[in-house]
Amino acid sequence: MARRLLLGCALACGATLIATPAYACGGLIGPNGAVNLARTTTLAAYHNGIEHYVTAFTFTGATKGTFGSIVPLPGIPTKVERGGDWTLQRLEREVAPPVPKGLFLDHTGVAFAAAPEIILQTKIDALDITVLKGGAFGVGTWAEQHGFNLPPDAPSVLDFYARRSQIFMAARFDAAAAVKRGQRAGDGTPIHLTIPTNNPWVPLRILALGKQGSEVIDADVFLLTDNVPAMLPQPVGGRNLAGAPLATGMQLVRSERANASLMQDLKIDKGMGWMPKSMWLTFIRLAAPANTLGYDLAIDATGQNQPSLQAAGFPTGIAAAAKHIRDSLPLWLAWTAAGALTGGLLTTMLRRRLRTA
Amino acid sequence: MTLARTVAALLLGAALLPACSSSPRTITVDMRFSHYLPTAMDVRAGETVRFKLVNQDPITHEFIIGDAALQQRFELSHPENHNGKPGQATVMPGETRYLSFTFATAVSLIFACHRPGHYAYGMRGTITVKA
Repeated sequence: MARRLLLGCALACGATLIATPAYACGGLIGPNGAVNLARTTTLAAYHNGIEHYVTAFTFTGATKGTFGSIVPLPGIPTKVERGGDWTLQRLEREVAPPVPKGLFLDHTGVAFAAAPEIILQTKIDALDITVLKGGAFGVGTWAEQHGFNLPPDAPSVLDFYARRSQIFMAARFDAAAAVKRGQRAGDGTPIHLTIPTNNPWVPLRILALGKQGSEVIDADVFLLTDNVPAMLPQPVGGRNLAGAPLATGMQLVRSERANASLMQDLKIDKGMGWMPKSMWLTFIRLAAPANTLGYDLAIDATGQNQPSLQAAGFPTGIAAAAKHIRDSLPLWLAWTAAGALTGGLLTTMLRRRLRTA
Repeated sequence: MTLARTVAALLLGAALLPACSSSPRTITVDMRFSHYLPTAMDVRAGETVRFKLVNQDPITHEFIIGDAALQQRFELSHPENHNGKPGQATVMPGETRYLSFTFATAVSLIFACHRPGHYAYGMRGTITVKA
């Protein structure tokens, strides 16, 4: 109990001192189309066939207009609840200890979405959450009917997801309720979804919804799995799966067994009691121009090294996936990568020769 | 009597012929994933074309015919309902709408959608009016 209180206080204080990341996980949509989005943070934890998806929506401070987000899901959630108070912050602290920057909070737009068959509706703080089942047209029409001006890429993005899973979460921010609750700009509401699925994946392409092609999408993605996960596409610095395409916009920053302190801190947060004693922690930093983000992150946590091409958004095969990622790379980036690789090879060869000599 | 009937029938046919020959050509324009298909069309000066506008998207689109100056003006203005205005249509999600337009003179025109962000996204095409 004492640890819980201490951790809660420490992270709450930390959260007010650091420039808080703008947590959200979907395509943000505001009254005038897409909303600018700062870094987003998501945890996708997978254990015993259940995906625990934790993200947060941040209040922008807007007192009128509707803000919302559409989040594609891999399956129908059995539970949608308020997330723990510190899970995302604790994960951020694990990979980057907070550095005090000032007392002002970053803030971003918030969320909402839509669809024809309503599976589940709930209210968490000032967020109206609706889980919908439907195709791209139905979900998009529902969104339009509920007052959102979807950006022009929404039809193709929704179609991209609906071909794989027709489950979407719509989160609408009730600005009046937020004000009534005393929420300030930058205050986040964490959401925890419990989703039974054999096929976990993290939606990434949706983050580019409504963005200009060159706009860089920043996101922190945490994975907690029983085994070392195989991922598709592969982040830079990840394991080399034969033939699997490399996403240069994704950097594997941390891949290790989660330490006991982190596990304990997460386990005592609200809704995190399901965690086993030990899990593998993966931290991926995404920084990719919007027009290169045509994929999601497929995960195989079984140890069989077979992440699903379909879950990554490449149903037509690995060659198509590699081609897509290669084609979407800016030329300068491809040349830089090729130059760095060639330079590295030459240096290695030169060193070997010098050693031999 | 038979002759009179034949003459009457011929006269009626002659009267109807121009109407038949001037029935407008129909061009189907699909709107899908915020793009038009086709993106380029050729018409003749003086020709009236009946556009069949099929919006397959879950969002509203427009089909506005005009020169570059008109397109720029609409790009800078707020979205509005264009239905009933010459050469302009607003097509709701899933809707099919018809628009007839007569191309008076030989000129190059643009057709476009000016919902926020759609024009920049590439929702435009060209109509070449030949003499």
